[in-house]
Order: sequence, then C-alpha cells, then structure tokens
Amino acid sequence: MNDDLLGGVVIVSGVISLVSFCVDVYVKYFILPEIEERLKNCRVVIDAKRCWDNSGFVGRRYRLVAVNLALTSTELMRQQDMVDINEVKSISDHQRRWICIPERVALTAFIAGISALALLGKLW
Amino acid sequence: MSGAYAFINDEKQNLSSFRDNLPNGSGARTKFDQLNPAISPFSIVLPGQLIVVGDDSTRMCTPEDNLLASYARDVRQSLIATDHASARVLIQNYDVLQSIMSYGSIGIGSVTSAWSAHLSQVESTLKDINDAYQRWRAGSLTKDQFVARRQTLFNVLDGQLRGIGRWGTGLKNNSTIKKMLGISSKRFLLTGEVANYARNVKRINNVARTLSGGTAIGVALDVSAGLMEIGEACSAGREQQCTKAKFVEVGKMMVGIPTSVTIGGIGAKAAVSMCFRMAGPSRGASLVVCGIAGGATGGWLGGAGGSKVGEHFSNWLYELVDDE
Repeated sequence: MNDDLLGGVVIVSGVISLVSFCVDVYVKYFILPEIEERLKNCRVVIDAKRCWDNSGFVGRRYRLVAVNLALTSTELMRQQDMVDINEVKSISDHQRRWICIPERVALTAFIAGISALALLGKLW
Repeated sequence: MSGAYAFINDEKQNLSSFRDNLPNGSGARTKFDQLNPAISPFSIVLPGQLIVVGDDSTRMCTPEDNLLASYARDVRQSLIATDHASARVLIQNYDVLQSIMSYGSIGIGSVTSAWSAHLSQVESTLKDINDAYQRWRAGSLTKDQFVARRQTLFNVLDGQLRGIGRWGTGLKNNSTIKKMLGISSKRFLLTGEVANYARNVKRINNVARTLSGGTAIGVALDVSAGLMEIGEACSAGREQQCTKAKFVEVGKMMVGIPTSVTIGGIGAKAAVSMCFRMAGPSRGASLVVCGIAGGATGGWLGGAGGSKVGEHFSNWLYELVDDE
C-alpha cells in the first residue's frame, strides 16, 4: 500500500485523537452530570457515582463507563436489574450521541493509526 | 552547557563534590541548593532521586529550572514510600522500566489513583462496621438492628474484597469476615474496640494516600521523560537535533497522554461489560476492580500506541516546517 496514504492515516488518526480527547473532557464535565441526573434510579449509575464522586477526572472516567453501559448494554443491565428501563428510554438521542459517538470515533481512529503504523513498519 | 537539566542519581551517595565542582562557582552552588532543597552538603542522596542543575547563564531561577525542581519533588515524594532495595531495583532496571513508564505512565498512574478510591471505600466500610458496634454499645441500636446492619456491611465488605479487590488492604483471606477482622462481640463489649480495627484502617489509609497521587505522578513522569530526551538532544549542541527533539517529544506527549485517557476509558468499559456477563451484579465491587484493571490495560496500550502516532505526526510536522 502507498506509504504516503498510510502516513496520512496516521496523521489524521493523531488529529482525531486530540479532538476526541477535548470532546471527552467536555462530555465528562457537562453532559455526564445531566445524564446522571436523569438516571437517578439506575443502580449501575448510582453505584458508580457513589464510588467515584470524589475522585476527580479519573472518577469521571469510571462514572462515564457506567452511564455508557446503561445506554449501550441496556438489555444486559435490565436482566440484572441494574437499570430503570423507563429512565434509559427518557435519554434523548442528542445526549446518547454525546456519550457513544466520541468513544467509537476515538477507538476507530486509534485502531486505524496503529494499523497504519504497523503496515509502515514503524510500530516496533 | 547553559540550559537547565536533570539527571537520576544511580546510587546511594553524597553529592557534595559534584556540587562543589559546578562551573560558575558560588552562584551555581547557591542555585543548586535552591533547586534541590532536600539535598544538603552532608546528606546521602538515594538512588532514583532526580537531581536538578539550573541554567548557569543566570542566577535567577528560570521557569524551566522551577519545572524540573517540581518534578524532582514529586519523584522524591513517591520515593519516600519506597524502601532502599526497591529504589535500587528501579534504578538498575531503569531502561526497562522507562519503556513501560514513558508515555504509558498516565494509564498506570490513573489506575493507582482509581485503586486509591477503591481502598478508601474499604476503609469507609470498616469505619461503618466500627460505628455500628459503637452505636450498639451505646444502646442506640437494638441487638436485632445491630445484627442486620452488621450483616449488610459484611456483605458490602465481602464484595469489596473479592478477588484482586483485596490487594493493598492487607486483610487475610479467612473463612469469615469476623475472623478476618478479628471481631468478637463478647470481647467488644469488654474492651470497647474492634480488634485490629485501628491497625487495618491506618494501613489501608496509608496505601490509599500513597496511591492517590498516581495520575499526577504519571503525568509528571511522562513530561519529565520528554524533557530529559529534549535536554539530552540539546546538550549535544546540534541546533537541528535539538529542535527536532522538541517537536517529537511534545508531539508524543500531546497525542500519547490524551489517547491513554480515552483508550483507558474504553478498556474499562470493555472489562466491566465482560465481568458483568461472567460474574453478575451480586459482585458489585468486583466490577469496580474489573474496570480498574481494564482501564490500566487500555491506558497503557493507548499511551504507548498514542505516543507512536504522536511521534510520526510530529516528525511530519517538523519536516513540513523544516522545508519552508
């Protein structure tokens, strides 16, 4: 494959990683509290908030993981009685996008960047 | 060399002769003392400590001098919790450790911070158990209320200490929690204290406090590793090599650290989801542990991979600027 193309993929991946991080910080500080407020009867969210509430940025990471699980693995969580299905349904598509899309974009960019580096022979 | 630089002390030694032989005489020595307040002419410097040598073109402390001094302080504080033998192992294997720590340390560091929160939860449960005993003794809880409350707290503690959740608590895996904590209701009524309670709480609190600065230390190690690489390249006196090192190291940090955080979160989610399917919700605290372990792996992979991407990105940027 063309080295320039692969190099371009790595550069785009790096830029996307930086943008994703900025979006991630925004989501953790502005979107997460809003959604937690709406999922106040979901055990998975309550437990995470109780456990990580005073742990700063690192704590928000784990609280976001709990919210993400409630929104993306709802059926599994419902079977274990960890979420209130009505509350999960009340979350708007707009808020769901903030939680789910940045993570997927970051993961895709990371995998693409690493794969391109490996194909270029620069990973090791 | 005029710029500020730092080096890692590799053995237990007194650095007075190094200090006395600094160029620029007494001014440099005064500045050395200012930047390394923990090192006196008669003190022994431990292996692993970061020694800062200031910019010798000025008697004033430059921002770079102060930055290096703050990293040295962080490293020293983290070494205080390390015994001499461990510090020595760290130095002897520095090259290997550096490959793990550099650009992956934010991932590992954030895990130690997260583990600190887990241990604080264990400590809080132990305090609640002690509180239940105290209230029972004071007569504000009936026997039935006390037994029910204690059972609830024991279940919480049982979940918190499951599997690797026990690490750092120092609590042994006994058949019952009462045996593990050395709790005896009869003895409590006589002595008024839960045996081993204070010792357990103090130990857990110490470990939690030591780990709580993990993220800050991780970032400091990442940044100081980058600064050292730049310092090494710039000390060779080749302008081009120095500029390129600045581009590359900053690029590695700029992409490596954020990627470590983002991929760490994704790793945590994947691990929790997997543990959920395997363990179920009754093991709530085990899920916390799963999240921390997944976050560590993701953080390390993200940090290592991100810094490679950042290196490529900054090389490209350097060549672009260099061509103009």
